[in-house]
Amino acid sequence: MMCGGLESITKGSITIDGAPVTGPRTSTGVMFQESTLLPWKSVLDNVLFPIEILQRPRKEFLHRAKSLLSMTGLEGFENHKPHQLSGGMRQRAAICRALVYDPDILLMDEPFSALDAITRDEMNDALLDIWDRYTKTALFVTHSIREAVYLADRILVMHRRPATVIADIKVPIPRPRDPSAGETKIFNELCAELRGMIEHSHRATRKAPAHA
Amino acid sequence: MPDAIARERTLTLALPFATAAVFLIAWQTVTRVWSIQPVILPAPTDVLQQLATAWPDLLRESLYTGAESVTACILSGLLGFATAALLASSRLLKDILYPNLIAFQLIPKIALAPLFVIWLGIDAPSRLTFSVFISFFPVAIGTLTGLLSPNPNLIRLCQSLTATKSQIFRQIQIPYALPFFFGGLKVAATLSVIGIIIGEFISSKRGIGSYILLAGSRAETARIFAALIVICAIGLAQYGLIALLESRLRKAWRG
Repeated sequence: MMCGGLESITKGSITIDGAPVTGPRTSTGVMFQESTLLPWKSVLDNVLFPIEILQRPRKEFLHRAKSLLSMTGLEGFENHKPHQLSGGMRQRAAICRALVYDPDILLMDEPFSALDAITRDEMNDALLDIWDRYTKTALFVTHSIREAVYLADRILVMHRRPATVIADIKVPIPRPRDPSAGETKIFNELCAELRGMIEHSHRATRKAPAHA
Repeated sequence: MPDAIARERTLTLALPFATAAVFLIAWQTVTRVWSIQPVILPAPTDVLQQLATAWPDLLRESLYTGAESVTACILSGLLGFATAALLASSRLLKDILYPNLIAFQLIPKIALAPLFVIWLGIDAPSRLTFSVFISFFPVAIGTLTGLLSPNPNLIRLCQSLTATKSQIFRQIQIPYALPFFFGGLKVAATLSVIGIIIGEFISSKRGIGSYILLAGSRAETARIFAALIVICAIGLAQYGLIALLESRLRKAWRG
């Protein structure tokens, strides 16, 4: 929220490309746990919603919106309403919406945590695909260690209460990645290492009842 | 199974009518079997007879009452919406005004009807004000609930796109509030008729309210019942118009 300029900063500073974030900037795309699509708009109109808000010409972005939809497997669903889609499809439409105005940064707040495990894996692959085509910086919050390792180049491990960064880890798994990456030794070692850090940090929190 | 659906639909339509019919037959039987005096409780057939003979009078008076109640209903919609928009526009305003609005609503307003005569006289403005006074509240509360109902993340999404307050209001809050607004307006449709009738009881020489008073003073009970049917018809017509408007709007919206 602070990175998006939606909440004021309590301590320290946030800079994007060296410029401090003081308020919302139009080159940031956001995604939440729920798709937050507008129920009365079609999928296509939902994807083009940011264009409407930014008051840019719809025609210029129509092609981009359609190619995003076909890339995420939503071709043919342009005129459906959100309630006619599955949870995974709605989240894919939300990805298209976050990308349609070509932001340079994506802020993703546990975007797939409400999905079932299989859909979630599909979404991760879809996201990797998108990153291959449109290189974007993404700040992705997740509670899934495997998701973090599978998707990220760099992982920041947060302590809970106070939420400070306890580790900054580079992920040495080469791209492009596919599900077989999850079977490799390096992947699973990294997951184990991260799990150890998080468990250790949780134990530390439990010892200090003042924070409980 | 389209057959089962059709049967269900027929039942939903038929059941209320059947219930009303059973009730009317029971009423008719009771008045006849115990030969209750028509002054106390006229039989449904007496009421129908009265409707058949007095309909020109009833129609004239109901047009008078109906015009005022429709006006009051429209004004309630506008005032209710404006109040809700004002309260939703700022957290501070809502904190200041909302508890007072509720307290204000707790005043037994029907008891205040004579005050409106003192303040505004005995003509249409007095009745309209009183009627709006009792019927705008459900619209205001409903619409406010609707305006504040969108997912906070949706608002954040708009803010992250540097949307203005008015963009968020028009694009997000109003569409979310529409069903709530119409829900409130349907309640207002019935209340506004009550408001006008009470106003007519107190001050008017015309309208269904004064017609009932006159019939009451002459102990013409069947005529009072006939007038009640007309009042129900006015209320139903208003309700129906609003429901129609709502479904039209919804269709236009959803394509």
